[in-house]
Amino acid sequence: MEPRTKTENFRRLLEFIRPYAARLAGALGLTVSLAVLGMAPPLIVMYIVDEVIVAGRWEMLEVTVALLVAVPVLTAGLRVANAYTLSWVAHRLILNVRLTMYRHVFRLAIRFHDEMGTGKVMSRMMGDVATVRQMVTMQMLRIVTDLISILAALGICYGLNWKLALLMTILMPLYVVNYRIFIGPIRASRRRWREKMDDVSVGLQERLAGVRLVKAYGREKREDRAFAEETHAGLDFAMQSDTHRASARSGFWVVSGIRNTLIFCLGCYFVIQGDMTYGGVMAFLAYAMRVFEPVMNLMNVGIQIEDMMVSVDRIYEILDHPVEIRDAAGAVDLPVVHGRVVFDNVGFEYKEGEPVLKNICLDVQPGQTVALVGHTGCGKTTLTSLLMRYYDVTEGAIRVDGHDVREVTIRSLRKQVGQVLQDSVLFDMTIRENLGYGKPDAPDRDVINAARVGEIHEFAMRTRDGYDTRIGDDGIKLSVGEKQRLSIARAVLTQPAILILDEATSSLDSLSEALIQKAMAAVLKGRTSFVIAHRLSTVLTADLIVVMDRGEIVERGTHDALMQITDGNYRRLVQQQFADVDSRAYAV
Amino acid sequence: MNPYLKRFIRIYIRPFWIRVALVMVLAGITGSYFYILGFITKTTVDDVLQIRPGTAVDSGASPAGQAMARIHNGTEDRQTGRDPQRVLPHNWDTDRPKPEKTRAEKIKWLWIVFGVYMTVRLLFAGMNWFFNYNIAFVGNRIVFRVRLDLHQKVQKLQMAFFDRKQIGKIMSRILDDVQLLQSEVTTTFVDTIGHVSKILIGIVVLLIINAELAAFALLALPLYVLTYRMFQRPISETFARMRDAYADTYGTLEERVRGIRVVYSFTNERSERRLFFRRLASVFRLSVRNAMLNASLRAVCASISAAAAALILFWGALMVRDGRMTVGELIYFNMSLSSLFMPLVALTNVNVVIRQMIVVISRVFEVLDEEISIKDRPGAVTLKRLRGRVVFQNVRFQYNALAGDVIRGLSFSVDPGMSVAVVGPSGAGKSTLLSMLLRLYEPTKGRILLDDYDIRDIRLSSIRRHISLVPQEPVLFSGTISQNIVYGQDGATPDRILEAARRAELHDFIMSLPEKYEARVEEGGSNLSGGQKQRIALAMAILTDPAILILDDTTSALDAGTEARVQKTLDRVMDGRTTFVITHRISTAARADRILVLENGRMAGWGTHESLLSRGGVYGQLYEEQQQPAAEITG
Repeated sequence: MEPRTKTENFRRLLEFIRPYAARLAGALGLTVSLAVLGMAPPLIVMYIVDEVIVAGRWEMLEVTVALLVAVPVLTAGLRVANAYTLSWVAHRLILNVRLTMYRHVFRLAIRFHDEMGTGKVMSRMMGDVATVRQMVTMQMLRIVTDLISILAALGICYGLNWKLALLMTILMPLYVVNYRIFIGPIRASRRRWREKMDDVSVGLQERLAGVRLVKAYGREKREDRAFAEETHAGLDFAMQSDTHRASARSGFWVVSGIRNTLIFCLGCYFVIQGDMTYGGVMAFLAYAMRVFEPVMNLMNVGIQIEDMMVSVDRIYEILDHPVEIRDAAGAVDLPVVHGRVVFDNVGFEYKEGEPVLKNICLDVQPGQTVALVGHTGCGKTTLTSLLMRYYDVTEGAIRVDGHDVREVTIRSLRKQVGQVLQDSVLFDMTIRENLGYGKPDAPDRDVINAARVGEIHEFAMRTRDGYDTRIGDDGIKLSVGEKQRLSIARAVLTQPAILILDEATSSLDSLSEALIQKAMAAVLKGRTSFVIAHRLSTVLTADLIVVMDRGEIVERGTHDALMQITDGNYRRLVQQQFADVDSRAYAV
Repeated sequence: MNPYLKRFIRIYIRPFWIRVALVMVLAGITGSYFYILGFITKTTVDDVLQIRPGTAVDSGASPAGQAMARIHNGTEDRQTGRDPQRVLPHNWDTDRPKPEKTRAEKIKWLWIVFGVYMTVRLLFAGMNWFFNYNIAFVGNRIVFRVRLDLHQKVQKLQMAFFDRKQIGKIMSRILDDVQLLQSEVTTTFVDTIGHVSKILIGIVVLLIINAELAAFALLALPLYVLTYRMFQRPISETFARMRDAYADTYGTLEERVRGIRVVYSFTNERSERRLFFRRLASVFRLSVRNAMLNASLRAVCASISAAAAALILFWGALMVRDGRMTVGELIYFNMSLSSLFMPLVALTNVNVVIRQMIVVISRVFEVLDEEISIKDRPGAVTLKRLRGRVVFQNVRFQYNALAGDVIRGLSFSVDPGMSVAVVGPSGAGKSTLLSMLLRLYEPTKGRILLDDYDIRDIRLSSIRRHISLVPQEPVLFSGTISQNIVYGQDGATPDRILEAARRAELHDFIMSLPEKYEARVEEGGSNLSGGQKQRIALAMAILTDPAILILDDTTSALDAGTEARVQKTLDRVMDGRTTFVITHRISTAARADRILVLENGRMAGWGTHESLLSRGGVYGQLYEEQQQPAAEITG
């Protein structure tokens, strides 16, 4: 990655601080004045040693000591206020960055999520943002105060004894040399360490998500070993970087050791010569420390800055990901629709040259139920995803009541299209909250009605806290069927004009599916619906059956009409499905 | 000491005791660094530079000075004021006559000082390297071991644990919490040793230089203890709440990102954002509070030490004036004092960090201490072979007292090689029943026998080697397709992989991919369709050649054509092994040797297709339901 883009990203991140510039400026002012005030004590001590003790001006003792007490005690409040402001801004900053990322992540197309994976999104939003926090406020201010400290301390040193100060200045580049020697290896090993830890995190996420499989195949030990290997590789790089760091630190101590010895001994020589007082030497050493400490800190910043830049980059990798699916300029809210859905010669490809859907033409009248059937991977789910605008068509157009779905706001579109997914996703909340997910303000009566429709009411009533029973983490576990019924009820509650059922009934047994379908029949009335089901029994009652094959519609019509086509796709599907049961059934 | 901390030290730090001891020794030596430098300084000031306190020309000592002088002398006979001559050195130290050195002598001595000073400084720089290296060594390894133990533990825990905990929360413990252990905690631990040794050496040094002043300095100590006690509780409370809030945020976010489609389809982005904001806001509040408390503690401690140091300088100056101390000694004392106070301030901070460390450690142990309810009994047997006889004896099961029994007293027995179809309404307990066979869950009552062994007397590894499960929602790992297929059977030959894939009707699909068996499977198999995933899961199971095969509604995501083909394979695969098939299709059930009809966790039928049909009941009803469409088609 180009260093230029890195600094650019960093600058962009600073934009997040802008609203708090005033606070930060205040904090900066405070920090600078604290740094300047902090410069006073060595001078006071010098005065006490040279003037009070050695020169015998004992009458000044109380005043000077009082000053020595006053400076830190009186500034204690200021320091707390400063720390408060700094941490306020720092945490506020990461709150804002996370919120912005959240807003963006939840606008990005489904494709982004499929490609990125939950683990990576998580580590960017939580881990990387935390890394940035430290640097952006605390360290930035520290850099400023450090520079001020260095300059002020150097200035005072020149005032105390210009020859010693000159010597100190000449020795300064040694620090730079030491830094240059070690910074490269440190950065390289840290980078590798970070990459390894990323792998560890992704692997761990998967293993935890698939723990049932791990157990079923008795793979615990091997997974442990895999985890150990990954983490151990991380450990090696961490050790490398820490070893280099230890060397760098010792290098600094060597340089400072040489410097301080020279200053001390030369200082003492000047005292013997009468060019300097001993209090002056003490003060000079104290100020030399104040030059040294910030330099040391700057080196640490130099090491951390790479970590931060990487994190900043990864944050922007998300923030810069284009929102592919967005409201068009001048998009209007989709008015309440009747539910006519037209696929006008729709084509779609994920990757260029690999069409997933071709020439889809379909005109669905309001209230019609369309069954989508076909072999796995024939594009049924993709077709409905286009209607939800999870993806945009690459060819043709989809119109709802005559409105191109790309010309209305996404929100208003999705509000009117309900969807029940193949994998039921429920959240760690109460049953009531899960049911009301699409309509949090729904009155209890509606919620219970929807639950009855989804055949989940009785289940809910069986649990101890009824609708207030928590699902997930600290609550109860639901079977797949229960989850699906709940998610059907959840979709029913929002009363969508258009409903998509993606294999939602596939794991339900025929009995409860029959119950649901009875209820759904009422729900589907006056509602356009697309049903993807592998079981043909569930689509027999559809107004229109669309048979798809390799991204194309190959047959369409009612069950009876399609059964008439000799050697038709539909007929073949039906026969495969029911062949066995027929033979068995009629053998009885 | 906190029991968690004690355990942590015993388990994780003790294995490194040699290094830790070395680090402690180094820390102790490093602790004396500033005192040695101080001693060199003192010697230089007193014996090389020979700086002496001056006498006040005006002799007009301040009232405070007079008061102090009185205290020092503790007598009334000095009321007349002090005699300037008296302050000249050193009627109190007759052993150290100090004739004024010549300039040449002073410079000669200064060269010696130079050599010693430089040597000490460089020596410490070298020691510093060993110190830091060993800290890093121990710290990194402790983190490594803690992570490994957590991972191992989590892998061993029963499914019930995962039903309760969000993955995100477990992740945040294994990765983030433990990282915290390293970054702050191990360094702090070692720093603490350094600080303590500095303080101990410091106290001795101070007492040697001047016992009277030292006693005065030590009076500041209780103030520190008091301050620390005041802050200790709010700080550790805030920290614990902060980590909890963080874990909550993590958990919520993970759920939402994972369930992004639901969020989108219900256009709930805004309310989710509000929820996320609330979570972040509580993290924010607690973090700022935490920072505030720490800053306040630091400020109070810094004030105490500054005031104490200044007062001691005042007192010491008076002692120098009175000739009871040399200038060099005062400077030495003052330097030592600041090297004593610095670790004291740091130590209050260390205490806070240790509090925080205990929070982290207790979160680690919380996981490590989680009871493993499903594990090998002592004396559990390893089964080389399993014939495949399965007996359920009055088995009951509940996930959670809240939800009540899921399985309510089931008894049946299955002979080796038999195929059993499990049918019944969703929520009847079908998946649970078969999960118990793998001992993923344990019956709350009753028992399960495998080949006449109580399942609890067989080693878990044996059970799971001989029983394979194809789950309803297939789980794939990122990697290649072939890596996924061999998941249950490392080191399978390519031929066998191919064979398994063929039998799962997967081979043709795989060969249609550009990378064939080496094609990438994305995280969670997101680049594959439901049917493809199920077939890979099936191939996985076929490859392990299990004695008992459990198919949890395996063909539900397949289209009819593929299903028909897979079904043929299954018939072959099932031949000669005990098979349990959860299904909703009568057509599948009818083929089984026995059908178990489950309803509400009870057995609502057990027998062959024909016998069950003749009895009607739940099975008969199911049959009727499914006959309808079939009749329509054929009719």
